[in-house]
Amino acid sequence: MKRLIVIVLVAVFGFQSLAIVPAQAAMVATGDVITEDASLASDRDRLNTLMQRGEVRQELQRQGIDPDEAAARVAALSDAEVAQVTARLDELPAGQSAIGVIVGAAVLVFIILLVTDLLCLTHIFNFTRCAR
Amino acid sequence: MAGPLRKGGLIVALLLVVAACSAPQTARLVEAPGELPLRAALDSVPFFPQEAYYCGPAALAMTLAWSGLNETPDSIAPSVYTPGREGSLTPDIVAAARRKGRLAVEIRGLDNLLAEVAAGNPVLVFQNLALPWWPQWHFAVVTGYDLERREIILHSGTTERLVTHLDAFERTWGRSGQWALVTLPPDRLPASDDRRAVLFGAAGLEQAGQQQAAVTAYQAILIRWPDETVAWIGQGNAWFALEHYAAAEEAFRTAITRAPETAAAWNNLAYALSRQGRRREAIEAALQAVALTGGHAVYLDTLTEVSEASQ
Repeated sequence: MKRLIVIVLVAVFGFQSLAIVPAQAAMVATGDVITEDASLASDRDRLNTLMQRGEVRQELQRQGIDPDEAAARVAALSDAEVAQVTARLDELPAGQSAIGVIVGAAVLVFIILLVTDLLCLTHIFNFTRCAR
Repeated sequence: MAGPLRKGGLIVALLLVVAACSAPQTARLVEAPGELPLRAALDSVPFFPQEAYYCGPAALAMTLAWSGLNETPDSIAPSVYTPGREGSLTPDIVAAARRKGRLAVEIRGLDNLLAEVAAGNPVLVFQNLALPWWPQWHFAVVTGYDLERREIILHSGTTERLVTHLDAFERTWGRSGQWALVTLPPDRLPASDDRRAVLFGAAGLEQAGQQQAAVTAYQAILIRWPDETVAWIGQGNAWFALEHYAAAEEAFRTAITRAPETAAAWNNLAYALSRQGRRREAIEAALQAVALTGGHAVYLDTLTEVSEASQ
């Protein structure tokens, strides 16, 4: 009976993608309701699959992240945000301290920054007061 | 000849300085603050001086501690810090706040950022303190501002009260893509009226497994925006995850009353009914979702699943 309902419906709506999309029956997540885009969920599946792979887990460990911790971080993101992460994983800047950077800086860069600081374009040195 | 040339060069240089120094959003706000108070200062934001590369954990710990959580940079670092990058990534900051049950909402625009501070919410900001081609990324917390003095006040690095030119801040912040975040207790909404961003914050709580906090956030959202159907669906999803299927059913039904053509609400209602052993009603709800979408594969599968469920 239930099978019949489905078969009839498929026939009525002529729906073609049943065979293509092995969609798992599921609740629709709130994030997907907001974006009105349920396809984003597949980005998460891709990322999760990716994160199970040996070389990825190794790279995560090389970056000092426990792969399970990484999975927990991914789980807390919306599908849209996961899509953003997968799109630009390498471009993401990481906040870091001034110390290492300034130690490594060349004198030229130091001077350029001092000048740009004074122009209010940057704010590296706490002692600069920029002209307005 | 040399004299006038030199003079001309000096004038050009001065013009460049003048042109470079006034930042557009700052200039607009100083000119016309609108409803924004001229100054604000938050005294109740704890300060944790940053150690080494820990500006991300330090900044997040400050806003989380302000929100009432017992967090320190050391306690939060494992969930945000990426040792290989010697820094923290913004999505990890957002995820960590959610995992702690906090409503994390991104704020756009300098006017909105200052409005949050005026409303009493410290704002976590991401800056590039140096130049686009030589970045020095940094996280800090905005705790105050003064439009008349054209200043912004930050908990930054090892400085508890860093007073910076608003123009300079606008540029360093702009270079990070103007990334800013509030981390609020779930019953407290941001001043921002960016409904979508607030909804994403609440949905993020669900995603992080903080279902009770999500329910609280959706309730707050519905008090401010009673017509927001998505908040009813979200609340239903959170109740469902908490296995309160009757409460979930009620929320989905409210969403359907307000927006009968929302297939996702019908689909999720089908599950809420199915879990309560009400197979016939579940099938009817699933059929609605199928009919509304012209037979979307996901909803057809739902129909199969609730049909096959035992009574």
